[in-house]
Amino acid sequence: MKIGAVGAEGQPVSIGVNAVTGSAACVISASTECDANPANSALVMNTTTNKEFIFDSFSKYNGGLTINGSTILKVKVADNPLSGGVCKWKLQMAVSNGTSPDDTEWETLFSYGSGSSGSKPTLDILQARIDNGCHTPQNAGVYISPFTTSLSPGNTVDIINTAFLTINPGAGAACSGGETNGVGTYLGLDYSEYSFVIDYRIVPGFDYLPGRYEISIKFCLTED
Amino acid sequence: MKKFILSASVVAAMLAGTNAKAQLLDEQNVTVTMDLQPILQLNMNGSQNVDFVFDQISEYVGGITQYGATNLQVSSTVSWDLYAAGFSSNASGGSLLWDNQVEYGASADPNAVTTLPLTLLELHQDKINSSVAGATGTYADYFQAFNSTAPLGSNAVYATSAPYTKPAATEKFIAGHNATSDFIAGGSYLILGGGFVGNGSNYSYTMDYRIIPGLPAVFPRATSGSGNNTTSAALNATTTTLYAQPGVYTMNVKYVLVEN
Repeated sequence: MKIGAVGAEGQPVSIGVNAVTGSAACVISASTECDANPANSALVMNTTTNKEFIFDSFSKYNGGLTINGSTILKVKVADNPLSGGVCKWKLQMAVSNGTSPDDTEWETLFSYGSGSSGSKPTLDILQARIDNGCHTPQNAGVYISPFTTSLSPGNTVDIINTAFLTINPGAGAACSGGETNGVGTYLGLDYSEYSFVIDYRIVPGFDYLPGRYEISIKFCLTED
Repeated sequence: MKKFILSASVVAAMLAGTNAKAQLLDEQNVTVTMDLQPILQLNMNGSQNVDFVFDQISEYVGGITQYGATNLQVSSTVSWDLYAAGFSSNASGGSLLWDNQVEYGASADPNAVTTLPLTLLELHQDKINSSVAGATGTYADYFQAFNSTAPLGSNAVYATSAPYTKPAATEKFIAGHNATSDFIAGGSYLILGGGFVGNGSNYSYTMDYRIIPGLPAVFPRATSGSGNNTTSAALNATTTTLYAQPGVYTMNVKYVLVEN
């Protein structure tokens, strides 16, 4: 399914949203209070898009592997100049497991060994810690397992939304509060409220089949 | 001029309409790959050479026991089985016999033979094999105590010419067994599991060794075949006139850790 939007300057924005089984999709709001022009509103990620966890020693299986700061998201959102309302945005994450027939497991690329030991890894073994300088995300600074339920379209995890706002003006000059999900940019004075650092951790233990597995995480910036 | 104004009005209307319906939506994607490589790690503590020197009559009669000569420690990310395989150069050729390195004396006695079966070596493990539901042999492991009344074959080492082939369901395993339903789950002696850790866990085994030559040296504990039966070996079963030629003999025990 292709969803096309046209920005204020007439630039086409084509977003592919995978709505087949095994994928969660960004939820599109009906509101049009924010500027959809990608020059003014965008989710920016300059970090690498591939995170590889290689478990090749017993201590890694037992103690897990952590990749710190491997995803950094930056947000800029502007008001829709043609709308008189207040622009509010939310940041979400969703997971896809490709062609896996089971919507609770990682996609298997291939298996090692006899394939008789254990089960396929489930989505909930991926832990994520999301934070920024103002600690505005939900569960800021704490490792959580964001994908604990079966996949279904629209089954996303909120990082920032209107229903849950953390305003922490005392955290520093860059955390004035109020802009937690309002208009602003990571290039402005309140840059900490518009930047997000994501750490990943996996502790597999000894219950899973040896093999190579993959999932895809989608970060979505939409109107709230 | 009239046409130009009309065209301009249409373009303006289109832009205004699309702005009104524009929705903020942007996304970024991250692919996470997890490579779970299977790890089977077997540590063996203790000397790699276990010497039995029989130079006293009492040692021939009572045998020599080497307690705790080998400690085996397992760390595995997959379900596993552990077994011991008695092996030698003769065994690789199909004869399950010790290798004779040196003969002492004149070697003139026709009743003194060097064909000593591998099964004369006995093993004892410090804890019972907890997963043997599919075992069909008389003895599923080496947990039977060393004593003078132990049944024949209860501790005889599994002898084979194919040490890397998993033993049959009739043979002995130290942990796990031939059936796919008989295994020890992935884990390590380093981790608390089931209330045990270290040498108390199912991931650590201490092995004792025993050889009883007898007098004459007919090795009464040796069994025929691969070891897990109650039939005496040929050295003393067919005739009582044969006995072991004095000399130096060697064999090796392979401890094999395999994925279930």
